Amino acid sequence: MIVISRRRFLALSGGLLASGCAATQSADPALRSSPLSGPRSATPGPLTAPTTTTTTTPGVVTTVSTPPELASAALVDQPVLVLVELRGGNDAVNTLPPLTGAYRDLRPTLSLAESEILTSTALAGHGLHPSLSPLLPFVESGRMATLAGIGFDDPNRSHFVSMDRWARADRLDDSLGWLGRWLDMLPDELTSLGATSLGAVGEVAIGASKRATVIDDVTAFTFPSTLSNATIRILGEQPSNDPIVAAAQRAFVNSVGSIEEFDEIADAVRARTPERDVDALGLQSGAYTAGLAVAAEMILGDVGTRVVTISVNGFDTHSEQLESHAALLADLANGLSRFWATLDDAGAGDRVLLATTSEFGRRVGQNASEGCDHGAAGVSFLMGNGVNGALFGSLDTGDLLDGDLRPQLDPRLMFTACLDWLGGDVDQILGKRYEDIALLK
Amino acid sequence: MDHGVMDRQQAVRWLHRRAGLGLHPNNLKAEVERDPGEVLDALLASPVTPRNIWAGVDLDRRNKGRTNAVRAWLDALVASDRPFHDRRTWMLHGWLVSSMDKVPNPTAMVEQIQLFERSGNVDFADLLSDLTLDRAMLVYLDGRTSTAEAPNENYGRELLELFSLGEGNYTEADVQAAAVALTGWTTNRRDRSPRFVSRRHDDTPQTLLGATGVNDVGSVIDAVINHPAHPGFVADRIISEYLGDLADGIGEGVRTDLIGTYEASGRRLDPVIQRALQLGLDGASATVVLDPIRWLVICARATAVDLSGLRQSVTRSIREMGQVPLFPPSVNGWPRGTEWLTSSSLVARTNVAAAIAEATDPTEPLRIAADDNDVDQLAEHLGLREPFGVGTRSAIGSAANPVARLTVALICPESLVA
Repeated sequence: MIVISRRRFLALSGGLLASGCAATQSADPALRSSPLSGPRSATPGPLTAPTTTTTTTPGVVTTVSTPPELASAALVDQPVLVLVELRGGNDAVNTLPPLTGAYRDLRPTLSLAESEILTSTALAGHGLHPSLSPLLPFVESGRMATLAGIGFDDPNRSHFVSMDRWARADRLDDSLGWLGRWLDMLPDELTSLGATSLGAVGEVAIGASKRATVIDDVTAFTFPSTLSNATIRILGEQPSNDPIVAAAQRAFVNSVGSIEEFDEIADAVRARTPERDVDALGLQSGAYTAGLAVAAEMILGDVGTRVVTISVNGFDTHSEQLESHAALLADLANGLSRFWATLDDAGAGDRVLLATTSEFGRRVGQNASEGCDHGAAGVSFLMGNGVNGALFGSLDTGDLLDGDLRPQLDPRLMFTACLDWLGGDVDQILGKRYEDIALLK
Repeated sequence: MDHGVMDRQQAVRWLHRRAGLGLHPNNLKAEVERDPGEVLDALLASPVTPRNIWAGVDLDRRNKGRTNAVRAWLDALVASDRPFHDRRTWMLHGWLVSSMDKVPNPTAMVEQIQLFERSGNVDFADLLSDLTLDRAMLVYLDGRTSTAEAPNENYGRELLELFSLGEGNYTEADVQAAAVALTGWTTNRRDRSPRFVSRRHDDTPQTLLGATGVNDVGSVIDAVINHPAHPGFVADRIISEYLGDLADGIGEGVRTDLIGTYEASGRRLDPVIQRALQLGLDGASATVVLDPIRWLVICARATAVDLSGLRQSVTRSIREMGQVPLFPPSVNGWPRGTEWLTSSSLVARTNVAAAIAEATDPTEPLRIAADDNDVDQLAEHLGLREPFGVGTRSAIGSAANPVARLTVALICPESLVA
């Protein structure tokens, strides 16, 4: 007897779900399929996840006999990676203020008041931005590793070069992201939502043959009722000789697949998505909270999700930084804390590893605009029950590189941990393993 | 795929979708009878009548001035009698970027677009000088708060990286030198007009890109514009906008040709675009993905649909498609090319196409072709260079009714590209 989800059962038996039906069910937390187990023991790496106990929820998880080859398609018990991008270059020094050194001297009006800074013995010599208070329990309980001074050697202060280096793990010979390479090497077909980018294209998840589905606005992610999904799918027939037209054909076919999967969790997702005024334009506040809520629903919704990227702009704080940075960090921290609470409530916390990235940190000294310019090393957080929750590295203001924090932790250390978590061939994807520090238990 | 040499009618259709904003089928019918060279000359000819897109538009932020500014521009693009120039202005907006995400005053952003309209074909050095002191730019890239004591590098860096030279052609020291030389420019508190405050300016001569004695806007722009990488940077941008991703064997020759044109023409863009289009007509052209706004405008012009009358707010539509004029998401502008082929953006475009098809008057040529289930007429009326492929023909055939057929014609892969 092999347990598979109802959705997968219907998909495998050739039927497509009526979206309303499935979505209505998954919208109700009580009926939501529970996580079936921790990461597979078959995948290599430090998967400390717990026992492989199986929980079935009546009405959602169906127990049926299936041929063995179909069982391998069930993805619900596989480890998940969530990558949260802080686009624009997050200011590491105010995120993780050093408690000693030149911090205050270099930032006469941009440093945080000593009384505001949160402290924890787990952060040895550093504090936390007050907006990050929801993360303090994670620091204290060892569910969060802090990578201070993360960045590539020979830093480049261009947004776009640095974003490329992070996305491609510094392999600039082609345009593939390191998670894209992982997707390309997966032996099984991924579901359309198996890799999903929320908010913007996640370059990190672009592979040669596979790439993440991009969902920018969940409220609008449905085709007009006047066209059938079958009609859209026909657009992909007989690929054109023109590669651009053929790419558009493939994109339509992929869109239909994503929507059919998304329909199942759509109601649950939309219930957690704030309505925007029809005429609203510009940056949306609360983008992390909204995106992370969607990610949690995807993970719990049994749609085969393995990788989610969430990208939010706004960290390029050249001016009037204090207010905007505080708001962004508060949104991030609130979103993260709710994300983990949602997963924990459903017992799915063990399946997920979450990493934050940003293309660079910012200059330690402030400029005249109450902001700071592009810098070198930054800070990343790695969260989850499988994480070795400690502080790695430091923000050393006594040994600067042209005014910037000197890189001391290669980002590929974190990528190695992420790929180990997912069960990927690190040597192939990154060129070699980067494991001088143990980020996972 | 690089196109072969086109026949006359194909060439005219290609010009209007690539270098203009498409045409209504009735206008297209007369146009394809003309010589492509004549059509190109007519496109480039300066508009006779002056026009102010935002005249009478309430730009007060308290009265939805930001939304009003966006909608007025969109309406002007649909109604455009100068599609070549409007398309060039649109390119400049996505290249020399500011965004209302950081510039709260709609009037300032509108004035920047008007600078592009006015100066899109002057010496590029003059355009960059004006842009440096443009009040929206002074806010967007922080020039207004940069001082001698603590220069702000934001504008200096993007001027070199994104506006004129490209990454790899300057050093960190150049970024800092540009920032120092441009200190002192700020905006008036009352009307936000540009103002030079000498006590905030560091007059120390800087060395920028090898040029010495650089200490003001003029000498910064001179150093940038005289850098050997600059003409090639402009040529690359024009190629990617107007000719697409050319095969290596072709691209290098086109690039050299356009660099020569740029230098010989006193660094003006129109001669470079014109030369690029001529080379494109001779076969140096690859398919490009239309960004959502150009696609939307082409659809609205072809169907004579008034966007403000659609059942879904056009503001919401363009937001969902991921491209809101005056709100580029980063200083690098919008996604480009196949980056637009995301599920999210295609789904949003399909919904917009359905709304446009629904709003198309039954007497419109495109609607009549959809009624007649005439797939070749649909492609022709849309101004496509070639007929639909097999997939699109079958998909149109599978659609339930004329409105659905027109919807498919508007969003099919062939319609998303130029």
